[in-house]
Amino acid sequence: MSYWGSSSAGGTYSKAKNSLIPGYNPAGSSAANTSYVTYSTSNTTSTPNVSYPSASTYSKPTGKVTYYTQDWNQIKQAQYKATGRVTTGGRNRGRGGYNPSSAQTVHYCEICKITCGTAATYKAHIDGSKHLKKAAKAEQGVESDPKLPKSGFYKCVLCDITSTTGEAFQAHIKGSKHDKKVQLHKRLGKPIPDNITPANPEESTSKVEKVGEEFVETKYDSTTKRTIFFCSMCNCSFMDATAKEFHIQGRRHRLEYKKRYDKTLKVDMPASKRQKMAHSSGRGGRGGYRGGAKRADSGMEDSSYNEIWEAEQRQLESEWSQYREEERWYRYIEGIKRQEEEHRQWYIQERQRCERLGIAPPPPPPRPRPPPPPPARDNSRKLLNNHDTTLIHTKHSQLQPSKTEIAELEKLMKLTEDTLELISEELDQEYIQTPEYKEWKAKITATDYPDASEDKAEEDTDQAEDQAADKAVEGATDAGETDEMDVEETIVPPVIAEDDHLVIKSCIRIGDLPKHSIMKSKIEGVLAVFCVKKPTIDFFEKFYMKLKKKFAETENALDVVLASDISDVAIYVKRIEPVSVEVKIHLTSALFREEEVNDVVLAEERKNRVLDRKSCLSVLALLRQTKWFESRMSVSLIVVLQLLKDLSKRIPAWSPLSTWSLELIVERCARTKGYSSQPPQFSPPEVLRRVFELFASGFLLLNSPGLNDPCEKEPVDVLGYLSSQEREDLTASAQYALRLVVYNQLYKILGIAQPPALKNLGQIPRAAAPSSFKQRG
Amino acid sequence: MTSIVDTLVVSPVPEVDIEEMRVVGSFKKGTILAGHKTADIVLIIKHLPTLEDITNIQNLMKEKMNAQQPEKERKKATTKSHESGFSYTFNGSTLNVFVTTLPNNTKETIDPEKHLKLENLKNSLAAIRHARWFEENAYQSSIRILVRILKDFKKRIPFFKNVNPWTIDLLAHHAAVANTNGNTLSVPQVFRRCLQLLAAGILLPGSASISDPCEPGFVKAHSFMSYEHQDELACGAQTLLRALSHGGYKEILAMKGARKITFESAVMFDGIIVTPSKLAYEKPAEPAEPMETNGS
Repeated sequence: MSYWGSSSAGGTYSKAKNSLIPGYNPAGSSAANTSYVTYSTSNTTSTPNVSYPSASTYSKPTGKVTYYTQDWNQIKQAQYKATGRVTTGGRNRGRGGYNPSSAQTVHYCEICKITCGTAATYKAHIDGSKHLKKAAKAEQGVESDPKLPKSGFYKCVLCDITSTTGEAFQAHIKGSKHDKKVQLHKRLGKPIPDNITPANPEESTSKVEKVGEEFVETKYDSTTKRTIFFCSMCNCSFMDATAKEFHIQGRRHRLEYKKRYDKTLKVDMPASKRQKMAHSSGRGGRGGYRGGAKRADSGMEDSSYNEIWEAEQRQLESEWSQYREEERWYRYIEGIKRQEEEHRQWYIQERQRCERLGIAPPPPPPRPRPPPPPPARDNSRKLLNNHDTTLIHTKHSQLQPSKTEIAELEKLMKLTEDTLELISEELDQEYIQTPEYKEWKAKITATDYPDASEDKAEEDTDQAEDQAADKAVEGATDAGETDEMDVEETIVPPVIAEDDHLVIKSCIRIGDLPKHSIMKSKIEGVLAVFCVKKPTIDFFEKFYMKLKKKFAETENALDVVLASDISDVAIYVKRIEPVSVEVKIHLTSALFREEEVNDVVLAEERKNRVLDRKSCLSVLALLRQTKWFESRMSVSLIVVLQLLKDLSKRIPAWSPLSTWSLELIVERCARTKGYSSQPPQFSPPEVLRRVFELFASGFLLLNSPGLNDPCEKEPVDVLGYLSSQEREDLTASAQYALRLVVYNQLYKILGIAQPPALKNLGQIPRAAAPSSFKQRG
Repeated sequence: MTSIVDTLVVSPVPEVDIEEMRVVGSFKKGTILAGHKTADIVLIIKHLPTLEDITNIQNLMKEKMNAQQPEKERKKATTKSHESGFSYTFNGSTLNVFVTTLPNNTKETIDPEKHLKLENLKNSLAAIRHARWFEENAYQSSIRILVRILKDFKKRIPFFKNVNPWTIDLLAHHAAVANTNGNTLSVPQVFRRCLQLLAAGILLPGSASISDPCEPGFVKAHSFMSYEHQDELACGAQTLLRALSHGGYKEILAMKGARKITFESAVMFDGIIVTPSKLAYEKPAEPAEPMETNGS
């Protein structure tokens, strides 16, 4: 056994070390299995110190040995290596199958209350600086840690553990660690000191009333076959009932409860924490961000608002660290994949080479090991940005139209749509009478048209790069009234089904209503009427007259007011009572976008007095944008968008931004973060901050990458129209807004009254600050 | 100046048990500014350094250094002790000596009247880690150039006054290296990116920030700065970024013949573009201290 060799080596070493410590009686060199250390202390519980032959042994992690070698000089290190080998041997033996009946030794250090699995580890421990320090202390007769208070604390002599509260002590006494120690001592036949006998649990019941006990669930862990308790509020789990009880009464749990449910709950601050806070000032407070935050609020005890803010900051911080972890994992996985791929490529090449040369191919690459699981993600984000969320919610509810308003609009929309349907039928009837139709009908019966579906498939490939628009088109098809219709591309010549309309193809809702982002200030629905042919001015007027007539005819006639605007190609259907709602009808045709624009087409349009091309195209664009937006809709997106729309009305710097560019920007900022399969959504405050961050980073300034329009075929910079000055002002405003958001003054940006919680802080020059933002903007 | 350091390294002080001596700071990192003739070294001694120790080392060093100088120049050398060590000035150049101890010793009880403050000891130890990290990770010249530019800002521009040098190092490294390709960017790119990062609030509360590689866990690079200073920094950088994107390179870098950049009033850049919103950036710094509690 290599044990002996090392033992002697260790012996010489300990001798060398012994000279430094008076009263240390080495036994290592002469030791066999018995009496490894004879070291007597003034400790009350000490018995002559021997190593105890016993049937049980506790293997301490042997990896610690390396720790001790750190500070020694080379010779000692060399000797240590020998010890290290033994340790490994010991460990292997343990792993290979531990037989309780074999004469195993327990190496127990009386001073440090530590059990070592093998002699080598034990020796390592004895020579370690930790032990030596303790030994020296014991030698001087220092009984306890000077840091501890003179009285009012509990000490478990057996485990050398002190605790300041009775509950903690009880928890320790009931814990498994302590239990093991007691078992060991029993086996060793050593006396168990009285002071550690578990006291009656009734005695230690704390005076604090329990709160939030209902959050603790009991779970059964199938892998460890143990019952675990999980506190869903604090997101932590416990192995035993004592720990659970302790947690429920603990400060963290109570604080959490206070924050969430009962603001009046009293949570006392431990004295030690205050001291710590005083300590961690300046740069020395390396507690990270927390240190800084604590510093700032020292001296403020009962501002729960501030506490919440701090907690939020902390949560943000932990979230970021989590995100980093995920990112690291992701990169790691990527690396593994790349390596595997390279290896595979190499193997294929190698095999080909071997085949050419006629030699045996190399062994195939080993099966890739399964990648490590991604780090667990904490999805409890309830607390985050709590008061900012409240503020945003308040503002948003102000901006949103009421339910009755929406209902009224919906009613008017329905009526208009019905009316349009009637008109459409009427126009069809008229059209069938015309010679033009008959001519055309004869033509289609003569020629065979390719299947519509084939047509579509072709387009799909063509339009691969413009997916968003494509999607929009598909969506439009579904929403449309006709079956085989495709708004954008497949119209010339359309495949005519029996029930197809011949003049007006369809009528689609576009704009804010399907986007769910109607503002209270402008309750308006937009309908796009798609004509088969390009609508002319004559047609527009005819249509308008028909509409007027139909509205008058309708039985349940609502008192609507109609107006037309030929330059805008729009018909307005207005209703003032009971609430002011409006429906805007646009005439357009998909032909505008399909055809190649050349002089011939334009000349023809002029000749036929076709409606203004530009406005017709903008209606088409609006449809695509609506569909695009609908496919990406989320709560955060809508809420933040409304806020920004409101902002652009109030602050001149923001007014140049079009709704569409805002939509694109907010959507970009609302995209989720993280690499897990279901990353959490950004909350509205986060999205808002990100929007401001984006602008603040100089996104609009020099070398601006621009913002590509996903709904156009050619690359179009949505923000291209902004002048340099506008960009500058916008950036400046956003930069200021960002800092306002960060520093808890969101209400200034939202243009609402300061919430009461903030007033408690009372440090902001309230009169000056908000107006300065408005003036400057 | 190098010679001073070398002398000190080769002539250890016998009375005090010196474990190690390391050069740190901008001198070591190679980011020293012109005219800033200061070298920092950290002296690790084996026990907790007392105030007495510092005086001893200080005197001894003065003695030894004087011995190497010609008689008439000796009077020029002065020493001055400070919170975490002492400084030795000779001929306009300064040697800053920070005295600290082994990391393990910092756990021992510290007598505030006898020993140096724990905070200072820890800072000195951190300085060693920082110097090492910088040497290993930030060898690219563009990082060093950017660090110098930012240090110059720190001297010239009031908004940058309170930036921690270590934060500057981290920021410069982040701006230059932390991109998707892992390439180091060129100096103009790095400079612009650095301002962009600051303007977008990388060093504001609640941001992703840069994690400190020399501390265990997730410690943010700006955790040493107060909220007010964080805001000042972001505000200054935002103004600079806009000035920069309108062609204000010369003004920002304070080149010869360029206008002095002001943060008080609007400035016209490029003839066409006006930047009128500069003035307003004075104001945000003032309400942006929501954490201060002793208000009305």
